[in-house]
Amino acid sequence: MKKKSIISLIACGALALTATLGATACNSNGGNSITVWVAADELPTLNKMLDSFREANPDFGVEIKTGIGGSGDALSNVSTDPTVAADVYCYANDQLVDLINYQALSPIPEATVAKLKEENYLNAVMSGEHNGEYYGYPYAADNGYFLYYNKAVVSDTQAQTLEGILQACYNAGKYFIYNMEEAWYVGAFFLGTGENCVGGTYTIEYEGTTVSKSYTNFSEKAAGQTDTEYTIAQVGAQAMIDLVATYKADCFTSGDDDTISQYLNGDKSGTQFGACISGTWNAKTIQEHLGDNYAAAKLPTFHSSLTNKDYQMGSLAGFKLFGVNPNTKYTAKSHQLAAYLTSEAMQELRFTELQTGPSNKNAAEKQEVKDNVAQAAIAAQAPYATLQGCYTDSYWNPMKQLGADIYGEKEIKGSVTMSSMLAKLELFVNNFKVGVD
Amino acid sequence: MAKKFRSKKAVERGTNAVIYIILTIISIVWLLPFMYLIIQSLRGESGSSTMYFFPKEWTFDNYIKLFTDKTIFNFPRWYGTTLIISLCVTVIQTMIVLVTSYALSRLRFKLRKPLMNLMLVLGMFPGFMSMTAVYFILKLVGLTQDMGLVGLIIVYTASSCMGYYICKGFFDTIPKSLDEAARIDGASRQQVFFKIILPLAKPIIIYTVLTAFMAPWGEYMFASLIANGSQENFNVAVGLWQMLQRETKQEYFTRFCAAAVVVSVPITALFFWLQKYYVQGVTGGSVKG
Repeated sequence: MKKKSIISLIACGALALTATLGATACNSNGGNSITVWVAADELPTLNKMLDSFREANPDFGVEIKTGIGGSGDALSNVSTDPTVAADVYCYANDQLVDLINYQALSPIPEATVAKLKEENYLNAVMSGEHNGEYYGYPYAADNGYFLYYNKAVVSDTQAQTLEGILQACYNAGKYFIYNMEEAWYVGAFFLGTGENCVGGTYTIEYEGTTVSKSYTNFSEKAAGQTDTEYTIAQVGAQAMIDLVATYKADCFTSGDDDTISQYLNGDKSGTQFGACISGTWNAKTIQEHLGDNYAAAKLPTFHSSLTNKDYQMGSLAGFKLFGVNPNTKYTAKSHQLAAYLTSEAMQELRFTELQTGPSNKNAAEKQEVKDNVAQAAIAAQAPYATLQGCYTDSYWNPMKQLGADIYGEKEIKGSVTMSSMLAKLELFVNNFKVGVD
Repeated sequence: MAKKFRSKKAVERGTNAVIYIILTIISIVWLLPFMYLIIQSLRGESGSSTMYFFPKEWTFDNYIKLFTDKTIFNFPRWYGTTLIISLCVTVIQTMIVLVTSYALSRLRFKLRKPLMNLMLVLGMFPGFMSMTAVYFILKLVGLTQDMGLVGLIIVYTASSCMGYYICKGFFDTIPKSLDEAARIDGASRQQVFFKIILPLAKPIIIYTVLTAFMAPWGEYMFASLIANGSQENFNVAVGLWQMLQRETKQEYFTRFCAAAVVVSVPITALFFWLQKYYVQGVTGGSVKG
């Protein structure tokens, strides 16, 4: 008897619920407006852009709203529920494939692609390409890292080599900050096929939107050797070990943006900041603290104690793009808006207000962009940078692990010719492999 | 030969000293984060972090800017939204809990035991797991985004009757003969509840109010799901998290700390004001089952 009543109670509840749902189940998909998401600090600039857009297109006919969603978090923001995410949003190109996978990007019409290719750097447009379709309107070409330094500590010539920077920092009692525990930055010691680089590459291939293959060439011979036979993995790892063994705690520390802020603020005697490797988002803060001593340059070279040769540090570089959500009610209008937001004039405005490095050729060639210290540095690093694709954990995990282990001095002392270290490096190279023997 | 026995006083003094040292260490460990937060909120230098504890420059600017500078973040609006949600939830949840407890404590009906068992079993299901399902139901009936505020209030109050245990325990301690006397005098069930039980149950009402207010005040997960990037619907937790993103962290960290202090003000005030009732409420409810 008791059981029956519980069941009937639950059944009643369920019925009532379905009835309510059925009666009100209308689609709440975005409403009659177009929403644009950008990072919080870009909102004031976006509003200016939208004002000029409304002025230029008085008969656009659809209300435009704004929201917060930065390019770095696009995937997590959008993937929660792509059907209610913004109609137009920005994303970093390394999230492209995942976003396509969530059916959150609509392809750009062919005519527009041709125009984009004409106006922007080809790499920037190609960063939004997957399986022959184009999914993004590029607007920023500065998603990478380079060297910031304090001119009071490090001279321009010293900034050319890692050893010079560290020696200068050591002499002045200041610090060089490089995030060795973060995979993104660790690649600097391995990647790069430009002149004098170690020669490391990472390849990732897709079938549809799933990774079919990924591998590195880190077990091949490092560039520029004649009588020795050291691999890329060995040269890179040894350089990191040398850096940690010689300078850790004295004048080198690993840490994120918080650490950079700490050393910039310094202690009672003033700033402790000698140099750091970071990206454009820190330019304003570093400039504020260093004033006239603020400087930036391409990444330095490092000296390999194995091959007795100097190598240029590589880097990862990416682009930021605006994408259009296929769940939008106004596909054509959203594309029109995205194209406008990334046009030459808007990229110039973006540079003036936010110091974003333009991907538009004309905008990037402007003298004021070239005069910008951080933008000049990222342009100088460009020849040694590897275009960052949609890397998966098969890239991030081994990189992070090796960097953290070396910095934490776990099982790693001395040199890479030790058998335990050799085994570790073999594992390191193997961990990148997906779908290959 | 040295004296073997120490006086009782000396022994006591020794143990007390040890106890106090331990307690002092614990309280320092416990209080340090709060101290840090308050001190950082008064820091004049910019940047997300410093190597030293006490700032070189003290200032109230972070608090002033928090409320006046709305170029990017609209803190007053988030604060208002959160306050509205919390107050609504407090009122609704307190009513539901009190009424449920009264019914389960005083009335005898066929489904009483099965209902209590059902609630016990349902309560064991981790609510976190049902989050996605709840979100899609809300979306289906159109209670996300622009109607997000209503949706959040419903979510926070939806299962509140299941928190009846402590309150019912307290009601059980109020002698039933009081009800019976009132009933004989001609009072209805409703009059008994409002005129007899509630005046005697102040501590537990206050306990319910406090817990009901605190839960939505700092809630993040649901609020971020439902706000969906639109700043008009942010509550303080979601908004403050946005301040700490890479693009804005260096500039806004000290303001974030100021905001955290401001956010903790209503709860602290409520606690100080209602503290003595709070202790009575918790202990009173657990005396007798």
